[in-house]
Amino acid sequence: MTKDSSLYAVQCRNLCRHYQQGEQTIMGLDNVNIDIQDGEFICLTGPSGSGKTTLLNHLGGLDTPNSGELSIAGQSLSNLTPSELSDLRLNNIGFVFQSYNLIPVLSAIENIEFILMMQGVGKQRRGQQALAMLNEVGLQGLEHRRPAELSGGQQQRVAVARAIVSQPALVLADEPTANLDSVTAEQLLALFQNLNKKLNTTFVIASHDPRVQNYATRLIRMQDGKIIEDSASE
Amino acid sequence: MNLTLSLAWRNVWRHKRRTWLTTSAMTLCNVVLIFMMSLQAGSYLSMINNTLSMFSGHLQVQHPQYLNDPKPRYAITNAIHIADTLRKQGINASTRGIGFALISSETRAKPMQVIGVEEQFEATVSNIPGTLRKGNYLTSDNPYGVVISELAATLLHADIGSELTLLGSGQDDSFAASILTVTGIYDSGMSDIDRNMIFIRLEDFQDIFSFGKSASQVVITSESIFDVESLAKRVDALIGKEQNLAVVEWNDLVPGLKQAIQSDMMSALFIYLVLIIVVVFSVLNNQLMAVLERQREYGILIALGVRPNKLLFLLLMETTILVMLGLIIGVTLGTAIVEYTANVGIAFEGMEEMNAKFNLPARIFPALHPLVILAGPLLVALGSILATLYPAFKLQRLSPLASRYKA
Amino acid sequence: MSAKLPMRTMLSLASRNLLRNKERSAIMAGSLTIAVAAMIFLIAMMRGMMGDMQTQTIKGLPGDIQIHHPTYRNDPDIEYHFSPTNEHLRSVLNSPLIRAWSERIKVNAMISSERANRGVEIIAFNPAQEGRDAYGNINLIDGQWLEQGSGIIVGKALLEKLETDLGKRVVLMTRALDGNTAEIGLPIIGVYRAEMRASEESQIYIALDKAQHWLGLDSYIHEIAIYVNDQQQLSTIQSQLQQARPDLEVMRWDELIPYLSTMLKTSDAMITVLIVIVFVTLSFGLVNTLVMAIFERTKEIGLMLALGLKPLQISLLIMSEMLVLLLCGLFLGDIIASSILYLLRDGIDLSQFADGLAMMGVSASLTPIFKLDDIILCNSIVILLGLASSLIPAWKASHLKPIEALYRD
Ligand SMILES: Nc1ncnc2c1ncn2[C@@H]1O[C@H](COP(=O)(O)OP(=O)(O)O)[C@@H](O)[C@H]1O
Ligand SMILES: [Mg+2]
Repeated sequence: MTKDSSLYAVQCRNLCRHYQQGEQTIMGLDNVNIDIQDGEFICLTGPSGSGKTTLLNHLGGLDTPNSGELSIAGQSLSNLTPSELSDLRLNNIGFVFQSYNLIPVLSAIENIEFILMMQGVGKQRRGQQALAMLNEVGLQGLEHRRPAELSGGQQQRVAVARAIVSQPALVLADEPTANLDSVTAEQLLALFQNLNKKLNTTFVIASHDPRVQNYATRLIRMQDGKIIEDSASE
Repeated sequence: MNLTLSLAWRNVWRHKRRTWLTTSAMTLCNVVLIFMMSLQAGSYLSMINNTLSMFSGHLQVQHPQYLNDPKPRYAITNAIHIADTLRKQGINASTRGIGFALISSETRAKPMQVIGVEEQFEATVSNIPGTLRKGNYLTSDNPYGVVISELAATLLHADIGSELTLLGSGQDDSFAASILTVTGIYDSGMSDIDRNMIFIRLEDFQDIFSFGKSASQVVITSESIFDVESLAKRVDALIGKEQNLAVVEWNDLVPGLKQAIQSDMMSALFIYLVLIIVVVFSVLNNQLMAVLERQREYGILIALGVRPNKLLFLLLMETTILVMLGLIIGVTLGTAIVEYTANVGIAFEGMEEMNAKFNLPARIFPALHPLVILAGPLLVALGSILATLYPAFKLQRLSPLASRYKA
Repeated sequence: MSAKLPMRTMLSLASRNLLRNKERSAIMAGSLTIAVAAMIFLIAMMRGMMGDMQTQTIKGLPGDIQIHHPTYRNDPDIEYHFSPTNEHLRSVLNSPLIRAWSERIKVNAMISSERANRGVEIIAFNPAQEGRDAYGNINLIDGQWLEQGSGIIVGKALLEKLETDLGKRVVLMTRALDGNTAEIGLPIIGVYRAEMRASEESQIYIALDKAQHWLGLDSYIHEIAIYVNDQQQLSTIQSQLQQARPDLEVMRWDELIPYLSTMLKTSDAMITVLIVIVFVTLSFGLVNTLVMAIFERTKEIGLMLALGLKPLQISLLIMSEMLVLLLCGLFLGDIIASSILYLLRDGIDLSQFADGLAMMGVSASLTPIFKLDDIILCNSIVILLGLASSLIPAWKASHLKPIEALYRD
């Protein structure tokens, strides 16, 4: 599989996802339509509970919509088997989750190597790549610590390193700067931007951090599961 | 319902699957223990009863030397008087003289044990008269009659009416000789008895073997194996004035029997113990998990001022509920299985031959006895509650802070 | 390209996960260890007991195979004898398949000392031909072994019953071949002890030539006892012997004592059933541990699924955790059982239960038999049961929905 970027355009058509909470029906996604081109750097913003995480989960093939169509590279996700979805995530998408990102029994470097190993990268090469990535996110010297021995911000950075180490075509990040001091946050965003420019990697970052909006090429604002503002369609 | 109890009950059901898995382990273990132990108890009881009721009886009054050295000279002089005294008290008793002789028919000869019995009472202490296959048992109007086994009849080429010559030595080392007529043929099914024993009237025995009025043993049977000890005391008291007499219980009369049971029991007990340990470990693990996952919660309770003792009590109560579940289900199922098999018996191919070797009937019937049923499950329960002391002890050492900050 | 999860990584993840809750894993591994060690020990003991029962039986018969006159076993009388002088039979008996054989006379008799008399079985054999096998399972404690034409060897127990002593004469009385009562006076030249008290009390040994002459049997005998080199060859040898002498009854030990093989089979089945029960009980605990481990790690499993691990790989990961736990428990259990069996290699003294064991045909010293096959079997049963019991939790784990698992609190 190549990473020819033109193949990774994302299309959402009338995406709806609702959750039953007792009597109440909560609209996680309410008729969402977006087109994402390769190489875009998107900031997904909106108040808490507006559906940002839900949308990211759908973009990553982790959740299935109740109605509507989602296709990546022209292929509808609803036609893929769970196993094919697994492969898609492993090889083409990098995730930074809002919480609980790391496997607790693996050290920082092993968490990163784990992804490379699953992709079949040789032992020596993946060690080097993982270490380089850790240095890049500013965690040199902490590579052998287990997640429980890292601060929230440090854990977040390991998660980011893991998401981008295999140079995926699409990176989905849920509040990646939430636990970071402003210097580190800037560094991380610069790193994202660098990748975006150099490798044409697509970024979709859910965040209400104004700094993220500064780096973004496109801003999508959500509320109650609806897209209420999309800078691309203006 | 009391608040602590209801809290314990709810805690037990916080992880339904875990609780059921642990309960299943306990139930399985309890059912197996109940069934196996009842089966064993059943086969031991029938082994004991079959063996004892055939010949030796539950108790015997003997000369003190006789047990170790069964010689004619160690006889009881007033045996019949003793037997009469016991019988007046409603105790089953009968007197026997035992001697040794070469028994010959016209064509064959075999050394055999000659038993002189009180023909009218022998059937109260032994099943052999009841196994008569041919002819009649000994009677007083038939002097010098003899009852032999089917096996002996074959080996001696003898039948009802055949004459057998007896050659041996009497009590005083005198020569003992007689001619006996076969009046009956028995088949006890026990090769030791069939191979070796022939029966004549005590009166004839005393005459042939120069026993005078003496005899070798007074055989006594009890209603049940569990009454033997008290019966022995009674007999002891009744014959108490007599010097030089010993009341011997069945385990000394047939020492192999008790030991065979004990050695069989040992290997079984070993397996039961392993089974119980395995289950107790399961319960321990269950409770340890419960304590570990609730550290934070316990921490809050302790911080609120609940005494650690109270938490310990709560945990023990949870364990008790858990083991009671296993106990109740296990005992119900186990009892049902035992109840069913106790009625129909258990048999498998080839068991008959094997069982005959140990004086067991062709089918084994498990014994339904509350003690046998409850012993295993109670041990499981007790072991589990004791094992819970370990997680409980950990709980005692919880400091409110440590538990609150632990993940 | 599918996710790759090498075995080594899987095992390393499994071990680390087990170490997360050290106490819980230790309890389960400990429980496994105890169960495995106990079961191996028990099997070795039972094997020892059964093997001993078989050996004692063969020694006591004696022989792996016996040849008799067809009527003799039902009516062991002096008249059911046969002549062993047959070329064909001799050639089979002297074939390399057969380790040893002996011709014997067996008759019942009365033995009398000055003070007492008892019924005994006289066993007469050719001391020159036979060696020690012919005596069955006895130890000479006083005096000497038989020689051609010499006296009589009796058991210690019989000696006591007869109130006589080594060197004293005793009188044997039985019916000779011609039907008349025959008597012979012989000196006691040896005293033996046997494992089985019953035989010590009832069997006496004299020389074949003496007995044949005394009883008028010429060169006739009652029994040939045969020891083979290889138990597997038993039936082959039996049929060869039968062909050589179609007029005689040739029987293997398991035909002579049918209850014994039933008993051996029954106890084998019994042990297997009990082992399975113990391990099924144990596997409830194992499943429980695994279920809890998965429950605690729902988020982590969700994360792995979200990162692209296949459900099957999650199942394998869970099962490898069980495998590591099993291997630890088994390893320790095997070591403990082997050490105990090594310490007990010279046998265990059970003389406390001697009479009862004799009743079952077992001697009072029990040597456990350590068979690699049994240990392999025991270990395989545990691994199979353990892995089988991990299937359901593993299947459940693999069917978790990644986001539901990931966001569960
Ligand atoms: N698994 C779920 N079950 C029920 N409600 C959910 C679930 N996931 C999300 N929601 C609801 O959907 C809405 C959108 O949530 P989310 O996408 O997490 O918002 P955000 O990430 O923007 O804060 C919220 O109201 C949330 O409560
Ligand atoms: Mg969110």
